[in-house]
Amino acid sequence: MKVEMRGLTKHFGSTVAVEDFTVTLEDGHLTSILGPSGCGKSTVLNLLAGIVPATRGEILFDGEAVTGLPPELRGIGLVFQNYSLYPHMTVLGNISFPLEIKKVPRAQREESARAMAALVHVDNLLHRKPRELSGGQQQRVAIARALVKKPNLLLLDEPLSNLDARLRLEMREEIRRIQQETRVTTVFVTHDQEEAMSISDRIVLMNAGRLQQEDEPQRLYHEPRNQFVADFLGTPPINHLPGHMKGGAFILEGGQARFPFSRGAGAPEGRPLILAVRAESAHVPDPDEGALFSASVESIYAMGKEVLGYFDIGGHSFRCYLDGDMLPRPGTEIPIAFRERGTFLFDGETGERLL
Amino acid sequence: MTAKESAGLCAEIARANRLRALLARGATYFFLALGAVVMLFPFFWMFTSAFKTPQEVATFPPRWLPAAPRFENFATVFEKAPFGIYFLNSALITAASVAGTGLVTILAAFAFSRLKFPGRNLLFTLLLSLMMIPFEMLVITNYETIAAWRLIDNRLSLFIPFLGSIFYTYILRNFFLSIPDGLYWSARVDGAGNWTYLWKVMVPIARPALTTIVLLNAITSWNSFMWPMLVINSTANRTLPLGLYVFMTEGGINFELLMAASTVVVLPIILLFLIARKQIVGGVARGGMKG
Ligand SMILES: Nc1ncnc2c1ncn2[C@@H]1O[C@H](COP(=O)(O)OP(=O)(O)OP(=O)(O)O)[C@@H](O)[C@H]1O
Ligand SMILES: [Mg+2]
Repeated sequence: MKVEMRGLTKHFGSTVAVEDFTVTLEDGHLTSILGPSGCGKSTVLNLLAGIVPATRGEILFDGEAVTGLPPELRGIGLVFQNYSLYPHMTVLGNISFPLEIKKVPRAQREESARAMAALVHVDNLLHRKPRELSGGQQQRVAIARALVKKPNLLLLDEPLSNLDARLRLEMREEIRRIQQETRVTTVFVTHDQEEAMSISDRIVLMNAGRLQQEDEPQRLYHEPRNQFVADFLGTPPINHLPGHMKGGAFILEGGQARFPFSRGAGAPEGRPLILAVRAESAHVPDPDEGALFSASVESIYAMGKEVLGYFDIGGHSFRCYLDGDMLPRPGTEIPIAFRERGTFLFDGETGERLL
Repeated sequence: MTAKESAGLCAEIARANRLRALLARGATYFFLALGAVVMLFPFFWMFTSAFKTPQEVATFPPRWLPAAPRFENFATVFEKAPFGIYFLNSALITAASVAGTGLVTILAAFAFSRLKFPGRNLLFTLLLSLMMIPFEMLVITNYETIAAWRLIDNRLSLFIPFLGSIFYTYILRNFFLSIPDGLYWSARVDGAGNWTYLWKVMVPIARPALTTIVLLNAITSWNSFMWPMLVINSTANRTLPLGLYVFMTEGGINFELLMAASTVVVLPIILLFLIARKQIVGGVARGGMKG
């Protein structure tokens, strides 16, 4: 099912939870909503589910407006951040509840429920009550309950947040597999960028209730639209070098360091800028290469084939990967150049991408 | 102090402690037992007297147990007054009251905890303030209403005025409020409307509270005396407590028969308590629920 959100806005009193949110989710895609805590991810999900009414804006399922439709008529499956299993029912009862409401005959609904339980590996727990389950088991029961009625849209609110690292990976792949088998349009909320990058067809990145960028995972990483997007993705985080352009050179803030930067020539002179460089986009250049800074080495961490260096460039800290065969000594100075890919120029005030 | 001495001292202290604990426990049991005897004695007296002969009831010093239990007392009671009809009336009215009041309470508690409508909290506060009005004052208006509806001397009048109970609604509403919101929205997303959610999720979860309400209501209804006394005149419509009263005033003081009749009145309640004891205690002890 194709899902469109147009100018979707939700205010809780004076709190702006979601503001002017316009995104289209293509049929059969798995879209992650990614963003820091409190940015409005759950609210978007609740708007899609019909749990909170929109302040403004529209939601369309396959072109039909559902903005005012109550949750029970939307045909969606939802896994809450805190599972919300029915405490008085067994696992089997919980999973078959959506079918019970649809008046599916008992034998048939129990069969479907058992199949779902097997899919999420809780088929040995069918007769337990939720309070007798671990957090991870409860979460899997909740996923089974959301899937059992074959929803048109599956909404998952941080469904993996309570699992241990291994199970988390396993469940992540499981969700992806189930999603690709069923081709159900899925929205997956998470604040874990790696999770979002690995599982999604598309990522919707939010901050403070606003859409920052909606794109394929790789494009989001390589072509961030603004500084927030660049900052949010990547480990170690992207480096910041504040400064401004003058006469075709980038002048680093608080220092004399400058380097010729013809690509930045389009930026207005004197305006505060941020030169952002991914850790894998810096390198020690060949002597004849231009465009370089001098960096003093603070510390070097060799981790197998990768060497992570901590540097100081004109008073700004800088982290980047080095070639495995060079291990500069702390306290020495080395030249550093930036590759075009993974080097961005942002407006220092608005955060808009200039380059 | 040598090690041996200190070990001896320890043993002595332990012995003293044990003795003290034993004494404390003994005292506790003694007072509990005393309380139990005081509470149970009237029931014991009623129950044994119900099987005595008129002479045995009247002798002094009293006899604790009848020489031979006289089951005829019960037969006589049922002969002298239509206790079978009284019993049936009591049972019917209690059942109707439990079902009717239960239903109204569930719906009202749902509305006041889950539905959103303007003035909800104000309305509920107003209702709560009505609990301040003593029952005796309500009797007058209730009587007038029942009279206007021409239900005097009709068994319907015995439970209709009590269908809406603010107190029970209050208990259940609080329980409903303790059920997390997420469960409600889960059920809605799973396809349930308010009605289905109420009966499939809320009511089963609230079973401890509901059991308490049903039992309290059953006991109150079964024992109710003053109101039936006011609105019921004919023999055919009497409930047990009313019948017992009439039996006492009309039949003269035959203690053994009176005690047999009382046993008939009280026994169902005691049985109910014994059967539902776990539920009652559970309902009181649990109170709320874990999300
Ligand atoms: N019912 C509510 N009443 C008032 N404010 C709310 C309500 N629900 C959410 N908010 C506010 O809206 C904002 C967005 O909340 P939301 O739950 O959508 O964040 P989130 O991105 O899901 O965060 P997290 O990752 O911590 O779950 C927050 O500032 C939150 O305090
Ligand atoms: Mg959330």
